[in-house]
Amino acid sequence: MNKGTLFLIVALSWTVIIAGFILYYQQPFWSGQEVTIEASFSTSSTAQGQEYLYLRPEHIRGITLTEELAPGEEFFEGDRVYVTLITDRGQVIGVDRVSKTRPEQGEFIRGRIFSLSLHRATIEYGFEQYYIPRGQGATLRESTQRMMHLVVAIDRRGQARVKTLRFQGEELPY
Amino acid sequence: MIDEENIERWVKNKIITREQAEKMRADIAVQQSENRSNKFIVALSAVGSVLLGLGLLLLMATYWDTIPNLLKVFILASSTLLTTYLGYVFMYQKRNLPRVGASLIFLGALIFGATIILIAQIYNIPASSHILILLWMLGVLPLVYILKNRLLSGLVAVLFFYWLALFFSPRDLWWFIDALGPLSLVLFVLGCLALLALGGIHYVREDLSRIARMYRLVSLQILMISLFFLSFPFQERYFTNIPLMFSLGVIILAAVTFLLVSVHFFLKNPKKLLAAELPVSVVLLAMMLLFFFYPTALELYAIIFNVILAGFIGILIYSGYNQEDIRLVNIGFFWLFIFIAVKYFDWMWELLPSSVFFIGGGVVLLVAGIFLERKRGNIKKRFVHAP
Repeated sequence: MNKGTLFLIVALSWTVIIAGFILYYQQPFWSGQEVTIEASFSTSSTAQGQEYLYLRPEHIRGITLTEELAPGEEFFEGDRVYVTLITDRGQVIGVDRVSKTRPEQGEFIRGRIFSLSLHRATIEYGFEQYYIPRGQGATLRESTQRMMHLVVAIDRRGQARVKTLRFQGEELPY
Repeated sequence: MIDEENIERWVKNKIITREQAEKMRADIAVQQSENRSNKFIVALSAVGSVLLGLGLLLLMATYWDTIPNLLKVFILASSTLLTTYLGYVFMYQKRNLPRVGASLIFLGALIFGATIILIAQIYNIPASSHILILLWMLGVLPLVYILKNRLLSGLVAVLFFYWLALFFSPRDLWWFIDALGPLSLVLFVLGCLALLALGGIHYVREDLSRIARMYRLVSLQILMISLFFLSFPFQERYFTNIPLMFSLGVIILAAVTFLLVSVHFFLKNPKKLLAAELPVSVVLLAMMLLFFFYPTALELYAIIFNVILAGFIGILIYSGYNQEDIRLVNIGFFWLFIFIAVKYFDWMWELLPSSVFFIGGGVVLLVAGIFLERKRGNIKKRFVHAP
């Protein structure tokens, strides 16, 4: 096989990787179930000056892993967990169960234990960092008093992505 | 490389005539000038590529908020493919600018990584996700083997360690180093031994020797850094509540490392290997497992790791000297200097009055500096350039 063909294969595989990557993360938006989660937030910037919100979803971020909530399971920092949600008219109001195995039924969301102190776990779901246009953080903090609703799309594997941000029923333009 | 000393000796022994000696000197001068020029072109085009890549990314970042997502993806993906294609044209089709071509391909590999990270940003995925680095590494890997390029091999080796850290960290690289402390170093040492053996296996084929060397040099540097930090005593708190995934990771990585070291051993390709590499790898592997699973006497471990570090530095210098490889000698001498300087401060600070400490420290460092510089200079003069 000559170098030209090999390069073509590399270019194709790069295109496949990029396309596959986009499709994978786009999937919850197409086929996922939508839930609304109340969240507090703070604002921060990356080293390159990109501004983002750090979202802390209520009810599902800090969970005390009692025997009732997670029977017979032992957890460690870094563990992948599935959190089965209690919802009321599409809004998350609590947690039904936390497990290291994927539930067979119910609405659940996949996360990872970020920190664990005694039985109190902080769980992250991969959507905490939400990029916003530069200079918008301060305005948003003042106008919302650091609370908003997240419309989250969750696919059947529990992967969740933030679809939109809402404040007092109005969609925020980010 | 033939030097002035050789030529003079050959003239004296009447192996060559004075005229032939002059011709040889002229040829060597032309060759040296060409080598310098080539190195300059490589350096210039590599720096140019990096600057171009940085500029493009900064431009994207400036207008990030105003560019629609689809256009962002298109710009990034097309610049990745275009840069790599231009590199291919210069290097293989026209063959007129091979070094610039290689740099453009390297730039393509960098933009490919940046594309993945920036697309992740569109989907609000944290840049510390190990998947991003894994995809980047997997994308660049075929190019490494097609081009047998040192820079790309180095990039893959560095990405491998970065991925390893992010994979075992629930947060980011800093958490991996700070919260796990010596445990992260155990993982790095195992990763280094695995990549060192994998590099050695590459020597089976002559055309892969550039890749082999780069994998091994990057591994050696990270191995030295890890051993250096392991030579300090750690607190017990690091060894409580070790995540299960981490313990499993250490076991799996140790098994893979052992497998690679064994394959490396049975291939019996000692030509370009460090003399004591195989026994040293096995001893280090065993030590890492012992340290990880039985961290009882931490002070004792610190002493053992100091001995291992000193021994390893000695092996590097000896092997470099034996194989006439100035890079190994340089790594060895660099770490010898760091070892002497840091351990002097670490061990003597509380034992000596401050004036004696500083005077003694100054003398030790000066003597060490003079000795190392002289020794390294003598060795360098004798060596043929390594591959």
